Amino acid sequence: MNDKQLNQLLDRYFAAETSLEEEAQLRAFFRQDELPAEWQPYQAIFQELEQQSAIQLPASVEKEIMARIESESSASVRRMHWRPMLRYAAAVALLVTAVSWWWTNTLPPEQTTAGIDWSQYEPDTPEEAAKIYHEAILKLSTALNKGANSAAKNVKRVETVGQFFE
Amino acid sequence: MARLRGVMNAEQFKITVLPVKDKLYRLALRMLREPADAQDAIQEVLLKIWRQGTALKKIDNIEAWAMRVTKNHCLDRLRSRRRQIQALEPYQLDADDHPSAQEKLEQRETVHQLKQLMQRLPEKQQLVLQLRDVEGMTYQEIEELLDMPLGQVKTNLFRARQKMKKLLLAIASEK
Repeated sequence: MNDKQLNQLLDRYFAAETSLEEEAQLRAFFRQDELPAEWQPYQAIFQELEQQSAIQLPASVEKEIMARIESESSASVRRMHWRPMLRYAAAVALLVTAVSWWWTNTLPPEQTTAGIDWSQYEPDTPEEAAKIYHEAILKLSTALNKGANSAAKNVKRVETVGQFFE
Repeated sequence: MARLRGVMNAEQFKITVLPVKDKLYRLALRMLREPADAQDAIQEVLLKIWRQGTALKKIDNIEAWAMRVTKNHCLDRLRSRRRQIQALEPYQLDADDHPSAQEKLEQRETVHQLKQLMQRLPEKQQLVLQLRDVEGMTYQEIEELLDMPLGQVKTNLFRARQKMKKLLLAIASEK
């Protein structure tokens, strides 16, 4: 860039007519260490702008922000792990509710058991009662005798086995 | 900056959002002026962005959006401080902000004087100069970020640069 071009570019810069590319050219030009005296006053502008563009957020602040974000992130991951289990629990609860609702609303109302009319089994005469009583005792006696015989038979078997081992 | 897909985790945040942190910080510093205040603001802004979670998927240009969030957050802070900002009042541009003769004598370094001048510029001129000459943003991007018509963006930039030129020529003539 010759002096004339530089002068024109500077004029356009101060008139706010330059493009971003032309402004980059100016910054690059004024980054030079040794400039002719006539251009030195303008160098201060571009040096100051460069200095400003180098300002950074302090590393300690960035570290603090990331620590908070990572802690919030891990808390959120923990919550995410519980989510599927909660989903299953909710599905089971829903199913149980649906089945119990269906059970109570679709089955016929509970039927009460009809009472037994015992009077029809009542004997009409004392003789008839005695006969029933006699038959019942006989039935009981037969059952008891059968049980006693079976027990005696088993005792005999045990005794025989015992003799064999003596 | 790429559009985000899926839920963002800490690692994705580091890759996608964190690279823009310095740019956000410089904007906050320009608006709030105090480094501690700007650092607090950026911390809040970045956490706010992080907590957007899945909503970030809908944002096409995260960088432009983050700049806007920062600008609005700084404005809220300034409002809560009850500080008057000439800059953000529409179309109020100029003020008599040239350093006094006494100040000129006291300021020896040209760069220091320039820095002083830049801090004295009306807020709108400061912001436009910062976004164009420090951050390298296009006029359209500045227009969208500051909600300022294109003509006003150019006028503010013109006035800010003219004041810098005037100061430099004055210093040069003194020498």
